[in-house]
Amino acid sequence: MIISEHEIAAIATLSAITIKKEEFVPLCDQVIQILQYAEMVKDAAQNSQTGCIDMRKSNTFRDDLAIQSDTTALLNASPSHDGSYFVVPLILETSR
Amino acid sequence: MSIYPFETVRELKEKLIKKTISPREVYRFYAQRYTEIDHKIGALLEFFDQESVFESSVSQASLYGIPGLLKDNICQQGRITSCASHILENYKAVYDATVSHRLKREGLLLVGRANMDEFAMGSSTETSAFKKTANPWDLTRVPGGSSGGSAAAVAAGIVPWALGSETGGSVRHPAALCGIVGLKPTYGLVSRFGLIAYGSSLDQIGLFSRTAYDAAMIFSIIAGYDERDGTSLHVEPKDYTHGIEKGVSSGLRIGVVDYEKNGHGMDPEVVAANEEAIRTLESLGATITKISLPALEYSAAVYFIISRAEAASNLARFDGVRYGLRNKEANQLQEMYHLTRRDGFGPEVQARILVGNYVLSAGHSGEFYDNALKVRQQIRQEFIDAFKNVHLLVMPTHPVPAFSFGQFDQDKLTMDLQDFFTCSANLAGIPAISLPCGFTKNRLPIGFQLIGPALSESLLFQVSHAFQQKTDWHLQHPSL
Repeated sequence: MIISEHEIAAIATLSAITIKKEEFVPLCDQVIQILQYAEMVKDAAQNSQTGCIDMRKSNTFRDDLAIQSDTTALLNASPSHDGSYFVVPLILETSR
Repeated sequence: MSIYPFETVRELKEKLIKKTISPREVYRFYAQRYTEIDHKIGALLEFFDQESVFESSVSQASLYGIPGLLKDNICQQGRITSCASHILENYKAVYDATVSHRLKREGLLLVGRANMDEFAMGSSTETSAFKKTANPWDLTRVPGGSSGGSAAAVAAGIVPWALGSETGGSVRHPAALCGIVGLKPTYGLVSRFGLIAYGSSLDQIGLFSRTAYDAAMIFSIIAGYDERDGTSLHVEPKDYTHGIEKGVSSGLRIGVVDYEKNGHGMDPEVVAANEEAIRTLESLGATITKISLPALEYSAAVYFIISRAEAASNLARFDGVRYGLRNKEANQLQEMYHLTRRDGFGPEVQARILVGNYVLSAGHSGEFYDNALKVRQQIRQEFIDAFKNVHLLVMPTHPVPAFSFGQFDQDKLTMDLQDFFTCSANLAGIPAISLPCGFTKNRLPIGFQLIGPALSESLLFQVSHAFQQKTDWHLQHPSL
């Protein structure tokens, strides 16, 4: 399979990661190597029979209840907060 | 003082009950052991002070005074829980994981946090942002991963038990490389509440100990339904030591999973030790048959895709907003996300996130992720079908013994394929236990694993205990 470095850079943008210049090429090599190995699932899937499997387990969903938690500790653990709000940089740059 | 560094949990409990030793003496003994030994192996990120340890454990409880460690991705309230990553370097957990709470409630002393591969991504504990951990049997080699710190600490006699976590083999693999017992439970049997997620459909908290009996003792405390984990099985806690001495029944059928003995980079000494272990099981009374699992060949590929896809989603929360590291130079929110994650995640974590988002992206998800899900079902079905004919399966835990630091730096695929034999159990959600079964001529430990159907932990403990009554691999210790 061919994956371009451009495509990997695009995925990095989607992943919200800026990759350091010196790490870019080895990272690309690693990603490509893993994906080339993982490609074999295509052939395996063609031979598999999908359908229901009796897992004999049940997924448990909790009731959709709101429970008061200790927000003080959570806020104190954050990099920056103001009262009960997390403080972050501007979402949009403003030009004045 | 009559404490020996390689005491089992069972032995320590008896001494504590008879009051030949006190909990404080135990703590001081192992604190001293840590001071003497850990600078050589680097198993721990932190050893906690005596007062804070005793403050949080319930005295007069059943296992009061017995020390252990938690992997650094399991939350302990008020303690740094960093996942061995810069992005959480100073993050203090605001709550206890369910397992932390249950262990403290039974009086166990949680004395520290164990080193690991960053966010549990690795098979050598080399990707930790803070330090490498050495294998106590050979300090130039890795302990395995990602729960290498936990495994090394137990193997070195710093603690008698420790918790780790598994996504693709991260308990069983280091257990085998360090010559100790490592258990991965049935998916859903141990609460994931408070375990910092890597691959949510695969993650399970597992444990390390010297003996199967010890594993059963600790497991009895952590296993059981938890309403705070939406994937928790409705199974009541129970005593897993009950019936452990029964031995191997004459009707026990064990399937030996067929694998390419000259393939997958198999070390001949590992193959030989595994075959000897099978002969031991047979001498105990088990009937041995051969089992073929054709989909096993694809398990690593499926695991790579699913674990990385889930990791990309789970690690999206580490963006500098609510906790952990924040890049202060950024002027704008998106820039903050990018730079924080650049600075906070190591290269291995970044690579896995990229693969994960790639296999989920438009135009590629059908080829990779959807197909991986289909093949995962096939793997599960093959295990279900196999267990219609046998009670347990056996296969190697690892292809090669402990390797040197940096050996796979230029070959990440081979590093990742160290999970080849372990990841299928995670994909299928079934339990497995790795036991020591020999040594190489260089005195490196070798392990093998027993795999059972869902909720067969009692049988796994029973057979493992019988195996350890017949062999003495688990009684040998590194000289440090």
